[in-house]
Amino acid sequence: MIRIDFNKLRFLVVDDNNHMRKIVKTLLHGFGAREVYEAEDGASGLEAFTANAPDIVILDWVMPILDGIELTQMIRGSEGADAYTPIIMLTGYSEKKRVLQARDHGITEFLCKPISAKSLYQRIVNVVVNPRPFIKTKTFFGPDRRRNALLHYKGPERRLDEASEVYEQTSLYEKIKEPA
Amino acid sequence: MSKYQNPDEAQVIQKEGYQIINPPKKLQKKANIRILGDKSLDLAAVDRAEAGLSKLAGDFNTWMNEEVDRLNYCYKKYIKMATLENRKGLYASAQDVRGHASTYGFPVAGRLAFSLCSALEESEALVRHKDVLDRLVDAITAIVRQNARDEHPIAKELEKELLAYKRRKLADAGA
Repeated sequence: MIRIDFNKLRFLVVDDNNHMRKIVKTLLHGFGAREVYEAEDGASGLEAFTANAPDIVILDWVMPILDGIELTQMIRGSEGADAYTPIIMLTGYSEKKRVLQARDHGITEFLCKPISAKSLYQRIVNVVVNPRPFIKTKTFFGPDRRRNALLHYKGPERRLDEASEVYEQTSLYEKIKEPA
Repeated sequence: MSKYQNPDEAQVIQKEGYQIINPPKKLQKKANIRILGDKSLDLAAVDRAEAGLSKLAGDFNTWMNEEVDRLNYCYKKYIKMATLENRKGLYASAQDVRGHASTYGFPVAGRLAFSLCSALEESEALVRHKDVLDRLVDAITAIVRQNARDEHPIAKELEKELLAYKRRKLADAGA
């Protein structure tokens, strides 16, 4: 069983729907979180992000002033370690093009509404236990969009026209797993 | 470069034209990860969260009615003036109903809201004639106002008929 100390983590929930914020906060408190900050739009979300330095951000897509994608871009563009903060997008938009758009703007995890305790818990544990490396190119900065290395892939490197190169990374699970 | 990463610093691996960056491990340190046996979830934590959520259930009816009020407000606004902005507002409120209805116990209303979103997004013919939009908004409203929760048989029958009607209209429009 994977256990993490939710009571040590600081969350920021950004959603313009106050009922949804209440639901997410209730779930986080149920997991054991104590520090949960909230904001009702992207602009106040950015302010809360700067003021509270959350460990994990959970945000909606469609919001007034700054939407979830714009807020993500601002977080990813910030200086220092804050730029690597895991961002979970919680939204009613479930179409593939939306998921890809979110991924291409630096979202770490995508969670479609309706929300459930289990799905939210899984996403949070995943961003903590299996952090992905970040990729920085001229046009992109965010979590590696390839979740799995294709060990037998023989085609051209998609980031560059160079020979395929696999960067092997031991998962955190493997690193910390205690021998049975 | 050292094989081992200082957990407080990002590790940058320079490639031709891009960088691979392993972020600092501060979150992993703070979270005190423990693996006890297999990789299964801590279901006790999930159960506690669900128990907390069930305490809010008494408010779900009111919240769902508020969502439907907003949907009707946006729809009337759009019917009065069919601008792109009003259409976006209607779409956003339908998306909210779609996203929240199941959580509040109205899955059929959620599916009809999904159908409304797809009509607004994909079919100009349906948007122009408004007939299907009208019926979808009315059906969502009726289901919520009549408190037809979960997979209520009358709500499901309404859904079946309405989706068949939408398909016929789409076929008529040649979509």
